[in-house]
Amino acid sequence: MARYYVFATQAQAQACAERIWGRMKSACVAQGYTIDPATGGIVGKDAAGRDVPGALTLAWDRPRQRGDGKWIVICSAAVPGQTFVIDASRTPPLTLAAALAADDLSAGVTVEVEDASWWPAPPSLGARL
Amino acid sequence: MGTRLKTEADLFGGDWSAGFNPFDMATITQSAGSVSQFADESVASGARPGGTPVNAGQTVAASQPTFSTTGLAGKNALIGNGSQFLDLANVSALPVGQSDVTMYALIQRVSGYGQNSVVLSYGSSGDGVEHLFGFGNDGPHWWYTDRGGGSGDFHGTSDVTAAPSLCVLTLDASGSSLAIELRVNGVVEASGTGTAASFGSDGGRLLYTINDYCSPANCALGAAGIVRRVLTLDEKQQLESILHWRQGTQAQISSDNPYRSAAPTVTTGGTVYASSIALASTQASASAALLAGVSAAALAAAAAVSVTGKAMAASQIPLAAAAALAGSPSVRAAVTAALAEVAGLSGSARVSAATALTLAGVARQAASNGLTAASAVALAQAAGLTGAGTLTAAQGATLILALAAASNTGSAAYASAMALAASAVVAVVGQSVATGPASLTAAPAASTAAQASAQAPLGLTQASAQSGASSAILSAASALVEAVGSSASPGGAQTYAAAVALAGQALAAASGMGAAAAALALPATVGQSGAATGVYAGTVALAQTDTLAARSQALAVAAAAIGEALGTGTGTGGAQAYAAAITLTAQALAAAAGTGQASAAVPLPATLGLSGTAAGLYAGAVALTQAEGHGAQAQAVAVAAAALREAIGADTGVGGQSFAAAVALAVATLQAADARTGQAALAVLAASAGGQTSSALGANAAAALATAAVESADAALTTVAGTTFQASTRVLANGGLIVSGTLTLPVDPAFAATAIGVSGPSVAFTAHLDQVAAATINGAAAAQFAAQAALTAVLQVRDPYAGAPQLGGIRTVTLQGRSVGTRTLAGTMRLTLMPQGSTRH
Repeated sequence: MARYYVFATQAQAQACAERIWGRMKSACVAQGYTIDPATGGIVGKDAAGRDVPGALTLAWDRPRQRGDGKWIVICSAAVPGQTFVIDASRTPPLTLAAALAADDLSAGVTVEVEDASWWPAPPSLGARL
Repeated sequence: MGTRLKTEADLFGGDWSAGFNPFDMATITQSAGSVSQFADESVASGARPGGTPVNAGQTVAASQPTFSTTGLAGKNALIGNGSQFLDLANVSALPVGQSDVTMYALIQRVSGYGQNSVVLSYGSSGDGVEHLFGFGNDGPHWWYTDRGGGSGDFHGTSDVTAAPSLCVLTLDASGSSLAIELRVNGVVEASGTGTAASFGSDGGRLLYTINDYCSPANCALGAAGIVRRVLTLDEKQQLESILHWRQGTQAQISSDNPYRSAAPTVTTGGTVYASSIALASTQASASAALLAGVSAAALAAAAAVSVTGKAMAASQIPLAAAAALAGSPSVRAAVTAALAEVAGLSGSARVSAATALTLAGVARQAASNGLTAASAVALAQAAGLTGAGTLTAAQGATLILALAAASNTGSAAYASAMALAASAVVAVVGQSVATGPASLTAAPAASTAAQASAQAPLGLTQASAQSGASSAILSAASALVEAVGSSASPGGAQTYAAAVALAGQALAAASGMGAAAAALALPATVGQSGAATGVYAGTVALAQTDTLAARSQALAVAAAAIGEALGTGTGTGGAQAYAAAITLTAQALAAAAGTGQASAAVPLPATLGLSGTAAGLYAGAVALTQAEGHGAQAQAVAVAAAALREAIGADTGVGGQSFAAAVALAVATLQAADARTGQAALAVLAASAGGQTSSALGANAAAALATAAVESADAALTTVAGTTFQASTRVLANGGLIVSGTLTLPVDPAFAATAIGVSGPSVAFTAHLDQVAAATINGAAAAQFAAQAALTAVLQVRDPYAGAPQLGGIRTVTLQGRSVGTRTLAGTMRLTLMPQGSTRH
């Protein structure tokens, strides 16, 4: 099951998602991705490595509210490119994973593993056949 | 008449409303490893020409599925975890209202219960009437509902297990009530009637779980689609066969399916694909399109040698010719690098003793013309491209032959010898630097070149037999010492001593003795020999990157190229610039090696946002621009970019992204250096094109083209940009493929101002792809390849306007080793050209 950051308010969750998004964008730019000037989103690439202008990534995650009212954001451990070096001047070189982990430490976030009880029960869908 | 495998486009034609096929790589757009867009193949394939594509996209990174080439039965698939999904665009292009519909999907449920997992849905983004097609209701069964439209829920009875499952849902609205059928792997699991509902067009999704209900399923998607009619039984069976055979899951096809034993085919004989494809709308992209298709054959042809492609790499003729070119100052760096590529493209398995003998001849010839550092490195690479495991005794002998020849040719050979020795050490050491002790005092005391030559192969042979890389290092050191000693007179005693000291340090570092860190600051005794110092920098870098063999080799090439360029500028660029360049290069290489030396003397512009290897290239390129002799420097940058491409691709796996950054830097640097000769610009463009196709020759091919065009590289670019082609393809009875087309050049620039309404000369071309080739390429790509080959031939006659008649004839182009997307091509293409005159339009 996926791991999530858990927050009391939507604003906290949104701030967390934006922090991760900022790191992710920097790492993507360093890997050669283009930033769309109009939206600030990452422009996707096709199999040949060419930009596909209409295929944008605009955020890391959108906070969602659990059944208990708390807000969740998918943990940054799921961000792709964790081993990418974003600062080679440091010893050892700073990877994206290390930067994200350091951000987590400074932010004091809470992480929980997804549980079925977070969500409402599925609807009753009676078969008519 | 012939046959080929049938596709969804053949089966559905214009009724195919949306199709998602992970085997069509052109439809997948990724962002940092996740899929941000999955394009609608029904339009991309041409089944609905000019139609509105129902592309699937996702702008939130955490919700983006991933793509895997081994995701379902070891083949291509889109992977979702239940929380990841794609939104459909342009849903109004789907059959909305009360319509006949067929929906299908090939799924493998990897894990999770799959409660309310949906493969495809559309009709309404809210709680209104909506097609919901997936699995997971009342158990992990295939399932359909219209979500409140009146038909209720239909589900199968068999669990969607780990076995690949292909479900075809048909909704027949032609009668008074809606007839519904669910087929799973050819078995009807549910059928009945419902109320035909009118569906909206304001939303849709691919691959998700409703409202995050419990236990989302991890699943792999091999295909999905929507058809605006009800398929017949035969069509359903064909679809099941097509998709299962493509996915390699044909064992799931039901026993009563008449297409179980073989996928259906279509009979061809007429034109099955036609296109009118401009090579590009801009000069830059046109060049990239052209150069991406340039092969080793083109390179060899440019060198006036009759060669048909990479398969001939072992032949002495092209190599000797290339080696002869290597002695020409104007094309030295690029062509010698090309030599390495031509000789080594096919990998270690084919670098046989025969090749080594060929290389020996090349070495002699190159030495007689003045062996350069770059050509020496190229030779070393040609002999041992992939490291210790492939460096045979015969290849070692080749190196030594070159070394022995070089040791008697004075100061120019001195640098060459160092390069050879360094490369030999790199090649022998490979990925794991010897852990045994190594010191020069323990090296055999070779007093003559002959002794060194005799000893070195022994060491190389020992290394080849895994008897200890340190022996090889010692032998290489001995050979190096001997070579340096031979050049003591022209280079001076000080240089000699410095070289020996440097070699000792480098070798000690390479052998794991921890001396590498001491080498970044150049000893005061060094600085008189440009190429040697460049090689030194490279050696230091190599010593520090001993766990990254591929990158190390690339850096060695880069260092040699940079050193070569610097060498040409010595004495004219000023000692200060030269020293700065060397220091920058060393620091840049060290930084690229990840040893924490990124704080190079040249600060990286913050706007570039680069690190690692890209930063290394940038610093090296900046260093080059500080010296003089821009042409050679520009070439060096291009070669370095190509080398970095390989290094980045091999090391990080991120391929094109990092490479794009490197190429962008090289281009920016060239522009800044005001060194944009036609050849240099071509080289950079080719390097860029090389990033698109792994087998492209890149910079080398560009240099060859520029050489072929003599001094009119810019004119060639203009010609490329204005050239268009039209082509059609048809399949032959034996499985081969014919491409027939016409290449139209722009009007002769000399008359462009007055030749209104007149096109340039045309060249009709016919390309015959053999069965092997046709099995690995689609029509569009074949047409593109054929047109590229025709255009390459046009450029090779130097003046295509005056020389068109020379174009007639048949040429053979080897496709083996080239790639389209992730597919590797094979076989050959025979190209027949027939020049035609200008036309008025």
